[in-house]
Amino acid sequence: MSGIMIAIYSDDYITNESLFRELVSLAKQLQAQSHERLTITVVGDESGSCTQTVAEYGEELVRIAIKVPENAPWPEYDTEALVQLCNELQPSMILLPKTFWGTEVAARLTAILDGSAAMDITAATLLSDSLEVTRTIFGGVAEARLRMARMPAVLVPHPKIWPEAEPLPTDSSITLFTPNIDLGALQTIPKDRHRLAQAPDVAQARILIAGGRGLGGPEPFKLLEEIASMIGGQVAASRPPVDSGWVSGQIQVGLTGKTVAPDLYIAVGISGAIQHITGCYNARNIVAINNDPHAPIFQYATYGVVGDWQDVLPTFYEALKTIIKSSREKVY
Amino acid sequence: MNIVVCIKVVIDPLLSSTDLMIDPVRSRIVARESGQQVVNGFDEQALEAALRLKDNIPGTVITLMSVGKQVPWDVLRKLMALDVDNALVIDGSAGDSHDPRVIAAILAAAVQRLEGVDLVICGRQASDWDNAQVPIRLAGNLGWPCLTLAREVKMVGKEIQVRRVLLDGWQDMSAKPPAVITVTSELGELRYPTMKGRLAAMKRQPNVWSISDLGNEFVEATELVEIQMIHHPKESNCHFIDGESGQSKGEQLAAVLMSSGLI
Repeated sequence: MSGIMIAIYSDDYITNESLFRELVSLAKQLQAQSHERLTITVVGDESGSCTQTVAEYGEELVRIAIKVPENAPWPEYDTEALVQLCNELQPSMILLPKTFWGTEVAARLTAILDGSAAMDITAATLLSDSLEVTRTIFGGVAEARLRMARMPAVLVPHPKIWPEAEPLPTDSSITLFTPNIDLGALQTIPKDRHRLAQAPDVAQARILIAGGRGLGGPEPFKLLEEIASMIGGQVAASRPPVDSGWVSGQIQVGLTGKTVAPDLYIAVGISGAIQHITGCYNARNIVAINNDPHAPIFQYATYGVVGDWQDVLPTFYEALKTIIKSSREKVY
Repeated sequence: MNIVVCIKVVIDPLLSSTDLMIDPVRSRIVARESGQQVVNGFDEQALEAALRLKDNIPGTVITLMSVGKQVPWDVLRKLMALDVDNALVIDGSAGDSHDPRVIAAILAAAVQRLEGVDLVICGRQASDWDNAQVPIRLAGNLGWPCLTLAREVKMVGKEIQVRRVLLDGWQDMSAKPPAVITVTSELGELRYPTMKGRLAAMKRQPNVWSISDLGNEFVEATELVEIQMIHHPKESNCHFIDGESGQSKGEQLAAVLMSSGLI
């Protein structure tokens, strides 16, 4: 086995291109050590914008697109297609994004190819006879060093560890790989799909104002929206508001949501459980508003307000409005 | 319908990192104090999914299954206060492996030995290693379909149907049992037991099988070199906003954030 393969789902690419660019950085780091051929495979889109952009990442790449039929079950079909491609290319390392798709394809691919998988990796080193990776565990409290004992090694990097690779101008082309799959022989059957309006990506925001269990219901998120739009930010949430159906899972920050690193992260009614902190730990500044002075979130905060958000937020909002208005008047 | 629910006992994920430490051989993380173990949250929701099926399908049998060296029965037993028929503990140190390949193979061997299982329901991932790999690999080992990230699970005719959570919405997916299902937190919390159920649970005991009886060799695909703590919350250097009331703190905060250029 030889070769490094990045596999990316076109939907993930469109909604979170930075994850893809991070994969390219990791792949190039591994390639610099191993000198193995690098392949980028886009699954799900034959001719969409993503395959065109993918073509811009260095001319030493092989680029492959796999078109997925409308009525194919994801990611069972996608996995089957990648298995066929892997049987042809025999890569020793397969890199996937930390998304629903990447996480599940990693498990399915590893199972079928009987390789080894490591999720959430933060470092990868090729030793003379093996590949060693470091990964976070316990929500980022600790890390484990693993030696990948079976090939292929399937690696899913932790977001925002590797830098985002820059495109390089090239005129190279894309090969279409057509798997031989009998849809009727697959085990899962897709039915209705319901798409919500796409929320702006919280991972890209410079300012986030996030609400937690302490907000008590969906209503207060409207106030967060108003504040966010006034200061050029976006609204996010910890897991409880998503589980309770107050807000969409698209804006969830944390272990089972997005990993973010904004300049300013305002956490309202969020206690700061490890599984949330792991998603916002890299924010440049955390501001916490919580009525429990012992809430763990204050350990990570630059500024803290001990108080009930119902008292703090309205005056915070009004004061901001006044200051912003007067500063605008000064400018004009 | 014969349902197996896979349960992992984990260190309470709500503990602060200062309550955790590494064991002397750097192979695992342990809590500083005993009694800090809980049922993995997503696995509780897997049980809730099974109970909802049982509410609607008479004759459904629910078996809890857990693997590990000396799985703490006092933690698992709390679940026996609900409408659960059996508990099966697969005992042996291989069951404490970090490696999903090993755990999935042990679970698959146990499910096969049980015979007649229609559905295995698992939480989407465990809060300690967050791999989200075992259920999918379990399905692979069994040769069964795997439906993932379910916020709803129901039988529709002869098919099992789940409403899968997507980043931008949801999708219904179905398969013919036997199948493996993973459940996500959007399904809702585990119901509360009755007092009667709680009292009855005190007397219940699990069936215990030994991993060595399952006959296979379970080989890890990744070798654990070592574990170390990386994240010790620093001495808090949080600047607390003073004020007589929440209202005045809110005003202060706005002024501080504006003057420091953060907004």
